[in-house]
Amino acid sequence: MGMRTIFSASRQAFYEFLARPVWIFEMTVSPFVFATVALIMFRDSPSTNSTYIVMAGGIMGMWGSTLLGAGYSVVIERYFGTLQYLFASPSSLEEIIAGKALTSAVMGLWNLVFVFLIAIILFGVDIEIAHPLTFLLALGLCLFSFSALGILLSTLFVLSRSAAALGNILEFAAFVVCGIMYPISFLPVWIRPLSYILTPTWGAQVLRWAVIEPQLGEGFWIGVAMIGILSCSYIVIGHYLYSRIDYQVRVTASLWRF
Amino acid sequence: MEYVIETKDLAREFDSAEGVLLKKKRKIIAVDHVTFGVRKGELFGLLGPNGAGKTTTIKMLTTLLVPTEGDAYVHGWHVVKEAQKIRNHINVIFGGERGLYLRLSGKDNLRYFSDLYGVPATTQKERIPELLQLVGLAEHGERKVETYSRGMKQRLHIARGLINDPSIIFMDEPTIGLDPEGARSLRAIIQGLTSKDKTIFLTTHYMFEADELCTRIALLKEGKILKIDTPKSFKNEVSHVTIIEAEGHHIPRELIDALEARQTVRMVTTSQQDMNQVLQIQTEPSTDVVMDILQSLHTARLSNIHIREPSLEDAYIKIMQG
Amino acid sequence: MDALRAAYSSAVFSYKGLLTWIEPRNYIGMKFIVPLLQMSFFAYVAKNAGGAEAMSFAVVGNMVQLCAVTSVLGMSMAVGMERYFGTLPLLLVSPTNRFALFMGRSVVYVLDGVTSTLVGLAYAVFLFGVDFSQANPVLLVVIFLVTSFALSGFGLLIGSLSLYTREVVAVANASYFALLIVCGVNFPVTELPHVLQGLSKVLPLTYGIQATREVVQGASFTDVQGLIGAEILFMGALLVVGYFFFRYFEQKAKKKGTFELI
Repeated sequence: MGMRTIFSASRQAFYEFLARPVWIFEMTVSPFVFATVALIMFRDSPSTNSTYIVMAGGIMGMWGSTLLGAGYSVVIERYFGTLQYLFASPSSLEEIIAGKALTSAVMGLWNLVFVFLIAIILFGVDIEIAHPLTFLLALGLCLFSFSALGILLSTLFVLSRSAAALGNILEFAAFVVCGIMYPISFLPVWIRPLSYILTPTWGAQVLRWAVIEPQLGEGFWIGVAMIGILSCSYIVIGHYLYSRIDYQVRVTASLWRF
Repeated sequence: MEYVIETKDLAREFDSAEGVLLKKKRKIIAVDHVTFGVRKGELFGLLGPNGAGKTTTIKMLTTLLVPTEGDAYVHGWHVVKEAQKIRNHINVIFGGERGLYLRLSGKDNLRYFSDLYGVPATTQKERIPELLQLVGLAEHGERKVETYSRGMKQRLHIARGLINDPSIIFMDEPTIGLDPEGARSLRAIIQGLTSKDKTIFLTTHYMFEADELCTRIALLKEGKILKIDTPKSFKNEVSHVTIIEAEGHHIPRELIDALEARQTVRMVTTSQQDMNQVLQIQTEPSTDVVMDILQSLHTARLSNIHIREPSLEDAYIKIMQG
Repeated sequence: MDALRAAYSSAVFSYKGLLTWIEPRNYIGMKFIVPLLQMSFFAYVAKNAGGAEAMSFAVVGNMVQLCAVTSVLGMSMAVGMERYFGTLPLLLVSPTNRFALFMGRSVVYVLDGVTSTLVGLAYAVFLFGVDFSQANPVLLVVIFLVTSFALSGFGLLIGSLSLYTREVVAVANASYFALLIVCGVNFPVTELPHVLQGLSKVLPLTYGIQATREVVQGASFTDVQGLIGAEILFMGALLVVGYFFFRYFEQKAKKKGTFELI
């Protein structure tokens, strides 16, 4: 199975996106709002780089999309009764969710494109990216790390029946904690360790370097290394949790009740 | 002959929580130490009222639930320890129309599940149209499932359940909620599967369905198996009786007592139907005895009297009551 | 009178419904955690862009806007949920005045919305150090009530769409977020493009937020009565529009037969 399940689930998630055209609208709303609000707020602060603000809105949307595909889709599958059939199949739920997470992260790129378009058309922002190629590579790294985090967090949705609110919380929490639009030093000290173990924090840092800085420095490479280390840890921990969940849900029957 | 499904003292409890804020926990025993075996090629029926534990049993056998006590084996593999091996060789269909991707086509649903069961692409190409043909959806494969009727969705579930060419198929009330015609065509499909050397484990609460389909039936009540046998010997339980039914208002207690006191009467039951009370008498199948009873019913001014042969339902009620 | 009774019983049931649909854990999340996260996010962005003053501005704006969690999202979901539970057709064949029915529901959502804003107020005071010492508390609560009621009307308007389309959640979310741009929540409405400034003038929330800001600075009832009056006026207009929307979409849905799709 393995790769085949991941591929198949990711294709399935893609079909589901296509079958429900409203996703474009749904996914675009919050990045659009965040980017717009931020652009207006930062209008009078000349030190801020508008390209970075726009991109920050976009990657927030990408995170939202990944979480929707990896986590909230479990709630939907539970609701429509398909989750138990997935579970009854020999494919592992973890691989199925990995496939969904990848698709929704990639589909989330649309957010980035969209906010760039809005910024150019409505706000007349000049998009300037210092290292375009590095930027694309960093973006790919972000997609991978978001998916890994999505898989890890999806375990919560599998185990919990009150996951509806969880989706909103986890989406917003990453926006707040990962300091995508402001320095982490604004946050209370005791929250900061959490920021450091979440990949969106480092993803934002890496992208900021690629967009703004004339020369890629140490901070960039630290960010890349952290994304690599953390993403791998997410996958390992997620894998361990899923091996436990497979047994646990059969004990609690939480997959079949909603 | 060897069993392909076997349970030993299989039991499952659930915690049930009541109340919104202060939850009281309570144990509910859904399946209470059942032991049975199903042979290869059988169409085995688990019959019982709602809440008897039929679905829970199926979920344990299909590796979706862990038993709290006892063991179960499918193809000789243990349902907890060797769940992964079992999953490749079985499939399950829960009754009702839920559990399909409504916004996708019937074909896309089948394609997805065949991928999840690791069916090779070349096999899929042949199997998916075959299955759609089998369940009478050949012309509707490209349509979105949300446009299907209920019967069509349930037939699509059968196709989905066959996607990995399972040797054992578990079906939980497959005809539930279907109109008589839809249910009949679904039963015909199920019947057809046994000729393909498949073992079918079916639950239902429709007596005639079990009678028509099953080679053997286990009767489940409150988590316990009351009896396992062929439909024929189930009916034999009540075969040497004739059943007389009559309707009336306020059937007098004395009449019932008098009937029960007769040597020739096996059982007397009453039930409420709309405005009327219905009296059912099981008696020796002799003309004299029946005529005699009819006479007494007539004097008690009961109406709508009719006499019939026993059905599986009568056997079911007899065993259920005691 | 019948309409009133329908409204009353509907209010009682929606209270029960609110409790069962939202499990306590979910409710706590929606009531305390999501508002905190939203407020923190915009507060820090504002701080980054314009310092402490901008932060207080955003905190007060978000505090008032928070009542939309219940009154816009909740209210539109109240109609939306009928569809998910398959009870929408049952409701629509009943002879009661359906608009009254949903208005009755709104009572619960209005009060719940005010609670959200009060939770936001606690965060504003204790976490972000906004100074409310000049504010008249009674006046604040009156403004919150009017605002929450007005937003419920807005929610009902959006909810009416769910008679017709199953994508109402998307529309409700979008409207909720749109309020964050248009109504002077995070920055003064004068910063908006002219087209959007026009839109902000017909949305009651704009007036509610403005009135709150003035009361926080020590304004009295006479200072803000104009704003409150304007808010009530536009709220009334929303309700009238909402009523006709409701009727219109009900007719349209009956013609198209889209009640049962989920």
